[in-house]
Amino acid sequence: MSNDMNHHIKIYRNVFIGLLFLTGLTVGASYIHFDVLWVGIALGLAIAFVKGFLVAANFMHLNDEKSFIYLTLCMTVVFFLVLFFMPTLWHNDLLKTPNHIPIQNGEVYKEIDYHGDHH
Amino acid sequence: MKIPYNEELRPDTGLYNAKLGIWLFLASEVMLFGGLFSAYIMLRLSDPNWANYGQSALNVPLATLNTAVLISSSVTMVMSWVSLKLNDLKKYKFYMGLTLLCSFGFLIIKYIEYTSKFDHGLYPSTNNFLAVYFTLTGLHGLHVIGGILVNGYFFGPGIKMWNTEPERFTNRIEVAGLYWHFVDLVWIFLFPALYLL
Repeated sequence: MSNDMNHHIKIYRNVFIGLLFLTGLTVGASYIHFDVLWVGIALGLAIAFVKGFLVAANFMHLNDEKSFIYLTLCMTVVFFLVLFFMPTLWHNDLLKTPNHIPIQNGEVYKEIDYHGDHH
Repeated sequence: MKIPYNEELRPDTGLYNAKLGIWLFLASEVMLFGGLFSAYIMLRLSDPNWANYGQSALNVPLATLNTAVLISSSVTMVMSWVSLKLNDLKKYKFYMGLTLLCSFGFLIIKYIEYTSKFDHGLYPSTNNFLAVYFTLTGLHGLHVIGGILVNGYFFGPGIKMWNTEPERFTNRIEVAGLYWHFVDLVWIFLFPALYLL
């Protein structure tokens, strides 16, 4: 147990140094001017993902965990992606909202008010 | 009567119950922050004036320092769990104390950042970027406060359990640690998304 834990301590120390280095790298990379905007954004997010992986795999022990937790996390990723991309579908109107649906709320409210006046 | 599966592993999941519980909770937290991140991306992509909303006025050096403080607190948190695994309560207290110090340090730095924004007349109602900034960092700050309450309990009165049920107490620290690392993880994405990109 003691040897095993000492091995863990070494890993935690290395991960700590790695995280601090990557934090410096993120800040440094943000000062580089890329001709294409998304390259800078992709680079910043890529470093964040590496840092996230280091924390999740080592501090949260996901590199050696039970399958039940992996299953839970897989479902989380699926629902997260749905949540993330659902607004994009709406934003680009990829769901093709039919034109005949009354989307002008004002008209619907007027109709309700009209009936309300008669009762 | 003893509550089952606090220490021994449940045969069907292979986990003690609190560990499964915290992971399900963290899954719901992913949804909470994921929704807000999604809103941030949507607002940003659909607004051509985004560059003029004061993102460049955010204090990057202070936020970098805060990132280092929070990463350090994650390391001390995991070390407090390791100390219990090694039956060293003194070291546990040391590392948990450091974790709490770092947590308060994070909040103090955040307070300096917030008051500087308010002094310059920058509020959540000023524009969409600041609304997103205050919502996301504010919610994250609330999570830090929640972590301080839990860790403070385990540093103070909750430590008594070590004398009667040491294994259960060690599991409690592992679960509190999982939550704390998640708070760290969220900040790792918030920092570049709000301050740098």
